[in-house]
Amino acid sequence: MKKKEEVSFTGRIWAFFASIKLSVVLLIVLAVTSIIGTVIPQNADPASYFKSYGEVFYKIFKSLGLFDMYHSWWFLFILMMLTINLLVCSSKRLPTVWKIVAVKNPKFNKKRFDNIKRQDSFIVLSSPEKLKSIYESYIIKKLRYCHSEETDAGFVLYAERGRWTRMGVYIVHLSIIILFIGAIVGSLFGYNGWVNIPEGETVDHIRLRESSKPYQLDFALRCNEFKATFYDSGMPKEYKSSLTIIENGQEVLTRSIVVNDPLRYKGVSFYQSGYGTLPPDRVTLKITDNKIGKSESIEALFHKKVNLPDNKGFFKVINFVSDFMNAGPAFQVQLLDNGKSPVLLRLFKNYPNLDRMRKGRYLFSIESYPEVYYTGLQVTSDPGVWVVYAGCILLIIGITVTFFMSHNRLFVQVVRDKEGSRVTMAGTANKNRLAFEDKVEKITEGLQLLS
Amino acid sequence: MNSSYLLSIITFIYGAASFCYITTWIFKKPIIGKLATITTYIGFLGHTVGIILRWVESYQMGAGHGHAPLSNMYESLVFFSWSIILLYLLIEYKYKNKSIGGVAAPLAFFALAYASLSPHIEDRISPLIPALKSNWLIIHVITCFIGYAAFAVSFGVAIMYLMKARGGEGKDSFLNQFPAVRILDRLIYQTITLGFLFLTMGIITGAVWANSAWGSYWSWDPKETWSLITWFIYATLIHSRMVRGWRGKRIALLSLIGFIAVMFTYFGVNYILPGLHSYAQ
Ligand code: HEM
Repeated sequence: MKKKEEVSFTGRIWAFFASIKLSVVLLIVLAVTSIIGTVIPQNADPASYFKSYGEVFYKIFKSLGLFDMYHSWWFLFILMMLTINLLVCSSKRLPTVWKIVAVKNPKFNKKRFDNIKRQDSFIVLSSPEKLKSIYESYIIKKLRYCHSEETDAGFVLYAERGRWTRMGVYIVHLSIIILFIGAIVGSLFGYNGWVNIPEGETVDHIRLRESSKPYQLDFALRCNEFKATFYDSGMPKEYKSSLTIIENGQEVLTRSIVVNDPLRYKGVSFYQSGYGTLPPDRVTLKITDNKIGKSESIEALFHKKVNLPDNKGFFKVINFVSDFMNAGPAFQVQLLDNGKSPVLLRLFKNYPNLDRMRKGRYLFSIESYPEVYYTGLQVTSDPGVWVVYAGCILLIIGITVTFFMSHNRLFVQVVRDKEGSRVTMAGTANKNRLAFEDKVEKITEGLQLLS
Repeated sequence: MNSSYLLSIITFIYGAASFCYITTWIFKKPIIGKLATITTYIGFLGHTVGIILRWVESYQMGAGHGHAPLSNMYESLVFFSWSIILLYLLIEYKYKNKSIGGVAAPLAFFALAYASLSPHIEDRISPLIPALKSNWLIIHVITCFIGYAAFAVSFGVAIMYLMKARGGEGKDSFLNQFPAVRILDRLIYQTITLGFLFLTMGIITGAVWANSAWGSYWSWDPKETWSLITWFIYATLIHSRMVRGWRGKRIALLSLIGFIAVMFTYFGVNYILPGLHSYAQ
């Protein structure tokens, strides 16, 4: 008694997942729910969510995982349902289709021939015996497979092509499973991070994007040079980094990368994704003594006291901004001139005389500072990507087979008719019937010309 | 003459062709139909020349500027319109019926008119920024927009289907000029399967491009997600037709919904949703 109930329960689950209604429902659910994540920005700063949605909605959305919905448990659950649905459906239908497809020598089936509505026939003067081999060799050229049988009054030909295309749907569905497997492999065993490397320097670890934790690489990477080029209009033209892989102290590979052309080494890819200049650690200032009209160049390290030319006071460089209020690079200097209260100076590279307005004893301006570029690299490792690409190729092939290729069958019956023969032709196709009818017409014409 | 100017002239030729095709619905004079077809062929020829000319112009702008004309909203609209006409001419040739021109030509006309005349759309050639320098991008745009064009034609045919199925077959009705509902139904489906193949290739080539530019083939940005939503909608349509045997009105309605999703993926994401996609800038 108990056993029977169990069987019917699993049976019911099986039936539930074997239903095409379920796949249609799941596809619609996916289409509708996916919209949410395009309206609510994903993975943004919690504070900005709080501001736009208010406390109540923030809490509701957060508990539903809507701020990272494509990785939320319920979205993954729908995808899993879809996968089970696909697997169950296919395992139910595939054996039947396979039985049809795996036939080596398909035979003539008179009933099927009689059932075809459209039959064309014509009369020729040759006898069936003469026609048989001519027809056979003509038709095998057009359809690849041809089987003939003698009958009392002549012969029949059965020809076909593309039996295997009935598998198209299963190729499609299989490719989707492969895609999922590739995506899962990637998310389990891959990582995604970034690293900034100043020109001339070498790194052996990166930072992971999600956790910001450092991640040790199996080798080291040096940035030899970074170069940004621009069009006349000021738009960026190319970002290019020259990189060298160093393994066990040996330089093993040197290559330049640009956007869209990453460096791949041992399963890790380095993508050109940004650049910048390092904040300088020192600056050379030109200090003019307004009293005696003499100027002097002084190199100052950041946060180090530097004596003024008259040794009766000092200054300290405390800050650098690469672009201060759209006026270009600027340094901040703290000045402690003998006995006076401390002053903060903002010195602009592009406006060397601005400090004159202060009317102090010393005029400060920036002479030079070291400008070191760094290249910004996105670093990923995704061992699943080739699985995903294989799935993609299979998907395209599968869809092409499913929609644009068909299983065509042609029946030809030749019966002795007075001096000659009566030939009757009929064709069927499991898809694009009209296209095949055109082809049958052409073959009919061809046969008429032959005999 | 530069390409933008030539293409704005083509807009008017398509406008004239649309007028002729719609006129053939009402007046059953074969001469108007012939005129419509000839006008469309001339427009298509000029359109093709315009695209090639634009390509050449980009190379004349200076070293490093040359690129296939498929890199911004204007150029994609021009190619979209071109694909619609190409597909329509193939259908007209195959089905020997001009009435579909009454919906297809106006769609191509609107796309090109929007490109040429809208003040929001920049028609100057600009050089490519680094992220757009990719052969995958070219294949991506071509496959996507051939797919969109097939969906556009399917949308037009679905409207014809709904008009014909609703209007009945009055004796003098212009609906008599339309192909039989059975043929319209099949044509909706055939163009959708074509569009589905190309949309699939478009999504995949886009993913390959993203992977070569940023190291991630899928990041759920709104444009990607909406193209996937579109894909889901058409997959629903295909399944309900192939397995559940839906025909006619339901398929026509689903085709309308699918095309709304296409349009949203194309324009809505850029103008309404916050996004990162390159055309959005
Ligand atoms: C998105 C994921 C997909 C899911 C979950 C899915 C699911 C299913 C299921 C469960 C069936 C019924 C089982 C069967 O007949 O074997 C089915 C049938 C079918 N699917 Fe899909 N499918 C998906 C994608 C596709 C795609 C992209 C195509 C496009 C080519 C497609 C084409 C078909 C066809 C033509 C059938 C009918 C098969 C038949 O009549 O034997 N499917 N699909």
